[in-house]
Amino acid sequence: MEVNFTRISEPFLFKGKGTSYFEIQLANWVLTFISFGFYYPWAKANSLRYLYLKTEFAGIRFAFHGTGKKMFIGFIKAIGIFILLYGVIIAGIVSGTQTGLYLGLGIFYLGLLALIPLAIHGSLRYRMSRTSWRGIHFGCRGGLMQLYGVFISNLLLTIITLGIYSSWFTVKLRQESIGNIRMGNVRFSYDGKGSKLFFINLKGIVLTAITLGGYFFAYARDSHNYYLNNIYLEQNGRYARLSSSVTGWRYFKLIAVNLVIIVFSLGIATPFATIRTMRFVLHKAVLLGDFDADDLVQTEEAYKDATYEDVSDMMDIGLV
Amino acid sequence: MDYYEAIYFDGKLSQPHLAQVRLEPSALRITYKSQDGTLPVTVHWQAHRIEKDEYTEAGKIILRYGNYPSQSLEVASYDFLPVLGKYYTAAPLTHQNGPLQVYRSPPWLWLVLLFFLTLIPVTYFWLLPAAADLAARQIPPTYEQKLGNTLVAQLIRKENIHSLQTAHLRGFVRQVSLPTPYPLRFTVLKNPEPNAFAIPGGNIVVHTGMLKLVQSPAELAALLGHEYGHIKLRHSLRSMFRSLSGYIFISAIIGDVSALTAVILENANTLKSLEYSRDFEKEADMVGLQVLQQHKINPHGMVALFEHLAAHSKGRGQETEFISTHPLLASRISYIKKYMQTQKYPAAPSDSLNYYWQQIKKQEENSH
Repeated sequence: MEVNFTRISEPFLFKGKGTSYFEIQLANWVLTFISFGFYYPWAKANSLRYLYLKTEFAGIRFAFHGTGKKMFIGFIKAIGIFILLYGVIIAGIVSGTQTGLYLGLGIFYLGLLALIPLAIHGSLRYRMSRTSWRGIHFGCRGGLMQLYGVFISNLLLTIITLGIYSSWFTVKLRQESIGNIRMGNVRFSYDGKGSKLFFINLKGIVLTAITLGGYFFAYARDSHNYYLNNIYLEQNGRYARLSSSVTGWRYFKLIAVNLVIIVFSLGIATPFATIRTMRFVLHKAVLLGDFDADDLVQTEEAYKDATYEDVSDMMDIGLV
Repeated sequence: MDYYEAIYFDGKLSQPHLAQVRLEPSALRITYKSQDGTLPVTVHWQAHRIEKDEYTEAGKIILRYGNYPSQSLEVASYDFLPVLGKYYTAAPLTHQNGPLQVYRSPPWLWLVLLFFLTLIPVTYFWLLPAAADLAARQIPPTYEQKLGNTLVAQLIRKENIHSLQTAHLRGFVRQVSLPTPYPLRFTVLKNPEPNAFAIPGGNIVVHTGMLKLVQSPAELAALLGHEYGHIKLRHSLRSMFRSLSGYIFISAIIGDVSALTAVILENANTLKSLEYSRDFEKEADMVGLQVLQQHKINPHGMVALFEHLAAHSKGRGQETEFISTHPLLASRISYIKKYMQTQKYPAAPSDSLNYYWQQIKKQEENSH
């Protein structure tokens, strides 16, 4: 088959509206509330379906194929895991002794730590397999044990170096997770360097302290752009990469206005803030380089397990 | 018969196909030219298996069909959806279940939403405390005692305990009968802040600053009677449950479970300044007054205690912790006075009570 590569600079667009997303979320909250939280997976599926459907690349919308029913099973398992972990703490308190309490807390935090790679891996696999563009599904091929290896070895190094290594840790984790993402026959990779991220962090922290927080938004801009600008797509040996050009001023405006929206509505207007954030991130992102949108081939097997989708939620692990 | 222009994806390749869509009695017929541009390809979608993407906007209808990997169709026509709906009324499109209709939600739905939204604060402020209270009452005393001991171990450092004053205070308390489901344990802590508080499981802690502030055995008895009231009515456990339940509720609504971890641990330290509801304070005051009455101690001690506390905080220009966590002092003094008028109080405290009082006061003065 003839491959017709074109150098492109194709933008992302976000077409979501605050009012309609608010309508969806309002219904989600109410239903979650009256069902004592059991509607949560459906609520999440609704929300993701909306946000994906309103995200456009090269004129075509993304699609989220996850369903509340599938995610519900995962949700129940996730709750089971957390009940178990909290049970350990409660047992520690009930034991009435100091050792019992510390033992309970120790097991709890170790358990949480051990859960992180599992949550990243599981939710990435599920989320990617349920995402499609032009009918081609994404996927994540990484092995769980490999992620554990990266996580544990780098975590130890971070602890030994009193946190200095954390920039390298972040980059390694991104390389492992993003490097295993596929979109049909397109392979993703992360090309960031630990040393570069380290200097971004160092500069950001020092200048933020010196300027009494004023530099924070420039720091946020740098780390945001460094994350996206190093994501590469490889298709039949040719490369394209994401390019993000958010500015510190716009970052400031986003955060300041979102804060006002959320605080003064007591959180009710959060959906409007979410829409603003989506628009902010996507409108400043383009795909640059060699990419033939017409030549993607479906390669993923059907994947169904949704267990760790919610574990990552409960642990506040933000995904892309 | 008319047709609609659409973009068709076959689910195997990302190649978009410009297609013509025709509505036929039992199926959607999709025709597009194959990749080499010669042969037209036709696909049939059975009407009852077509899925419509939720949240599509007018002018951008997205339909899906079949098992993984599904085929999809994008139709950029405003009148396509109503026609499609009319054409296949016998076997309507399968919707992915969503809570709202795509285009406009009926007005009654907003009323229902409004109703449930008002239900949230109602639940938060009334239903939830009641449920937490009920739950707290079910906790057996033995468990409460274990919990209390763990909290005490967290809160009280051994080196801060004033052992001599603790012994005197326990002697003072032995002269009064205070029945509870578990043994009471009184502890005096070296701390100049005039404060006293009850921890679940029968633990009552009094600061040396408070012993310095009280001026008569009646005042001390009133203070202990009040704290005993909190223990007897299990106020600290019930309040803890209430404050915890709020967190649990909020994190259930927002879906953030991770906040809970912090809460359990935080609770140990905020216990000292735990705010009881106004009803709890009044109940504890009444128990305190009954204790005074039973032991022929002058009930005016309670009024005097509050007045001394108020004077102390005024003199410092800053409220003491005890007062700031015990609201509405003036109203409490007035209802105590009212209560006193209805009861007879022969004020004649026992000699042994006075003995321990002298010991406590002597110790306080010696230390300065």
